[in-house]
Amino acid sequence: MIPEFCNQRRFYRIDTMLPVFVDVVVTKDRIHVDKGDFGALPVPIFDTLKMRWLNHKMEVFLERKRCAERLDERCTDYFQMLHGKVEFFREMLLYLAEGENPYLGSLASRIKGNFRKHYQKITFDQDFSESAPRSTAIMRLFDRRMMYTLERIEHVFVYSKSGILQPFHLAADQALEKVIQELRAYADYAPLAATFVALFDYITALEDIYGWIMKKNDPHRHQYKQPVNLSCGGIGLSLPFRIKTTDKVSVELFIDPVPGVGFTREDNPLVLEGHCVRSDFDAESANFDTVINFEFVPDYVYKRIDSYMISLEMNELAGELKKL
Amino acid sequence: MIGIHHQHDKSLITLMTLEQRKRACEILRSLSLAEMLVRFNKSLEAAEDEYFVLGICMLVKLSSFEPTHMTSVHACMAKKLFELILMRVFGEKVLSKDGWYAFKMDHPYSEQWLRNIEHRCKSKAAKQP
Repeated sequence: MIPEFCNQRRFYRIDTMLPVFVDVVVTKDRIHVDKGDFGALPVPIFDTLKMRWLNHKMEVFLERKRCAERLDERCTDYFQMLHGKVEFFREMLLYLAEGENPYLGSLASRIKGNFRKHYQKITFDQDFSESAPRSTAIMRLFDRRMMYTLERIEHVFVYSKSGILQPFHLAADQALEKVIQELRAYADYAPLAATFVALFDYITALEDIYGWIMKKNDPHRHQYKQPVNLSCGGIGLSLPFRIKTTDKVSVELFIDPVPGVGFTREDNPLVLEGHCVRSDFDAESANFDTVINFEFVPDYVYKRIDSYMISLEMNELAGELKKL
Repeated sequence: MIGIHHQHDKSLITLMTLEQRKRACEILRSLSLAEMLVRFNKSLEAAEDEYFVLGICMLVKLSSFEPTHMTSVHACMAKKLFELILMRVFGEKVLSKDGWYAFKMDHPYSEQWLRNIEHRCKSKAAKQP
């Protein structure tokens, strides 16, 4: 299609460094609980509901596992092993959730020694890997993913001693996601596929809660300067956590005022609500490239963003003119 | 989405052929104003086509900037640049009396924009510290 009037959006194409704070408002579809409105609930109840949701995921996984064991006995050890690792992950989460624990330092030193040993104790059996190469490959992918997340957690533990928490990221394995997408198609017929899918759901749930806990403990974690592609219609940025496309998001922007437009620095932050359009995993930066569309942009916000972006463009232009 | 649809001089785009519009669309989507200027200076000795398309892209982009959202320094800079590129693209006769009358009839939006931005240049409120 040839556009009649070129581009219907604004013409800025400049990546700016902006301090941004992104908060994810979880929608109802994400957590499958029968009763209650999440918007109205206070925080502690929300916390317990999250844990109940997690338990539900775990129960589904265990049921599927039992079904698979009836058919194929060889699988039992491996699922047991993976389950042990996941439970280890969960324990770590519980420690992290307590946050300002005085024992955290000593615990960190204790875990640091045993961490790798505890995790790498059990290895794959050769007989099984020869008989079922595909399922062992999938299990290896699970293993790699768990290893990666646990490394991140260890990093947090180490730095929590000195009080410095650096921005970290939880990366998902793209290959594993593709496999799971395939398996979802025939999960109803094949019990082994169903167990893989359930385990994947369980781990993603754990990761979600992990991100949520970290955000709760240190809300300024995601508020750092980063390159942002901003316009009045939306914002594009890279985040260390995933946002689902159904989720509502609130974004806080810290924008420098432009003289003559009628805003001061005290009007910051500028709060905008929107929804996530996409968030794809980028392997190079190990972050999620997310795009958020603003749902409603009032006039004063439009003025602020527009004036700021124009000033950026003109400053860049002035720099270029000086060279000539 | 209400409020984000930009206003610019659409009559300038109708001067181009369809193939040129395609290229202009890509340029407007991908380049910033400074990058366009660099490419414009390089293209002065290249094919006419490229030169023409880039010039019109810059005019369109400049006319999309609202004068009330700029500082006075930036407004003066934008005005000067706009006039220079007009001279380069349409010839030097554009800024003469008759030429300007003809241009005004064809492209009323950019004429209005230039008038607004002149007003912005003189405003005291928009002065940069």
